[in-house]
Amino acid sequence: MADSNLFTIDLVTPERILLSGLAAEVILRTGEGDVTFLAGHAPLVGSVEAGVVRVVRAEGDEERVAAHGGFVQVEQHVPMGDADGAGESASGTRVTLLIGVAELAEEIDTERARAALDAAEARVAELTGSGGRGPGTPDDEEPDAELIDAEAALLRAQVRLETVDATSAASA
Amino acid sequence: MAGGQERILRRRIKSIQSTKKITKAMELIAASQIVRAQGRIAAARPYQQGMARIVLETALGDPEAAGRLLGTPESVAKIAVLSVVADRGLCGGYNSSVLRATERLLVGEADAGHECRLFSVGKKAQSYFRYRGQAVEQSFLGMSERPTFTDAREVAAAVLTPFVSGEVDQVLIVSTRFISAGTQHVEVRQLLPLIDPREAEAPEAEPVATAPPTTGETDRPAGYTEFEPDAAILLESLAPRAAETEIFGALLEASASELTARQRAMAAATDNAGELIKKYSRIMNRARQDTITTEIMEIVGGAEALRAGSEVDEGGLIIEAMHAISEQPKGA
Repeated sequence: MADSNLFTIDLVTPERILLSGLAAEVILRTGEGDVTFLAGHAPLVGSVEAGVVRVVRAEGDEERVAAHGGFVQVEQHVPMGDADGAGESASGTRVTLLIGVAELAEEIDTERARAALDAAEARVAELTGSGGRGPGTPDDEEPDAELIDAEAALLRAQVRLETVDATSAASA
Repeated sequence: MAGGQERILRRRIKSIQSTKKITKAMELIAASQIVRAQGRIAAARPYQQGMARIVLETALGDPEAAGRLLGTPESVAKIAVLSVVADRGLCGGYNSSVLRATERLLVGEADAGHECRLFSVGKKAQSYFRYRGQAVEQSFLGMSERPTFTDAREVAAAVLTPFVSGEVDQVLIVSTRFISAGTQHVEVRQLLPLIDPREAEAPEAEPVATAPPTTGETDRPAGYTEFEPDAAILLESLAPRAAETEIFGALLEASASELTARQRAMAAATDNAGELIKKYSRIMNRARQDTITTEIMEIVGGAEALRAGSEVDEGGLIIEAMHAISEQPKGA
């Protein structure tokens, strides 16, 4: 119980643990808006919307992760030494973020994300445009699925750029 | 004529030798990939465990909503079955044991009056079921050896959609569990509804994917945890994600099992090739020896015949004959 202001954070994707260790603050976007988690937060299970997850480390450094949707769980009184033994020095709070697809800010290829954004924007514009012109088309379902895909791609690109832009702004 | 046999054997040995080299190489490749595959299983575990914890927590939060999405369904009419095998053969009984288990399952369910929709991962399943006239609704190729989470998502989208829309009541998966490098076995598991973590408290058959929750969490009173949104809504979106995680885990384990089976099959093939080479070399050597013996016999026989014809110094003749033998080029 060295520092009661710190808690254990694990940001996990299906393929690896993206981020793990002690944090002072975690800010993320849930279905109900942006939420900040601090040590001692009440136990919670919630959904995470696509957006930037900010993890403030014990030293005040901030790490940013582009998260494309997932879940968060806050637990209290996690037995000491649970998970990776980091609980030793934390407050007993553990925040687990399960994100299907996530990237650390430094892993994001800005150029590619920007290109993807442009492509997705064009695609969405094209699909909504054609949808507006022919509202009574027989195959109504298909463009819908395509539009959803395109919008998802747009959102992913936006989140990536948001993550990177904010990072460069913070370091500048 | 005896030399002809020798040549045939020599050619055969050469061909076995090159086969042996290939199987040896495949064995080594599989062995090196197993390590990586095992690493990937280990890397996926934290997510699976986290998912299991969240599902448990949410299920405890709203037991009513949990009823529909967790546990064994009371009445089943339609079932989706996902069969996971490899794209390639050369891995012993790996593919056939999964395929046979799938077929058994399908027959059993059909007998029980359930309608089955079959999905598959791996080229071998596609060809197997096509040959048997069993319709495969969708077949996923090119992911069996190194599945990514994106692959798993793609499979999950196809397999889980019928459940979410209520077209099927149960989703089953037939795949190979990777227990250890020495043990893998074929297993039929329920994907959806999710296996109830409250019932699967001590699941000896599930040591990997849904890790048993730590004891501290189970005896916590209900209503302790907040849900955002409601537990029921959350569970709706959680269930497909959890099943997706299960599929990913199953794909990873299947790939490790496939590689292990391949390594074992190729090791056996290499051993077998070595044995064949030994056997054929023996036969070849004997054939060569036979030719030499025959030649000696012929020469000695010739000498005898000469000696019988004219009374010459016999000692000299035999010596001459010996010279003739020793001057013969070896192996000619």
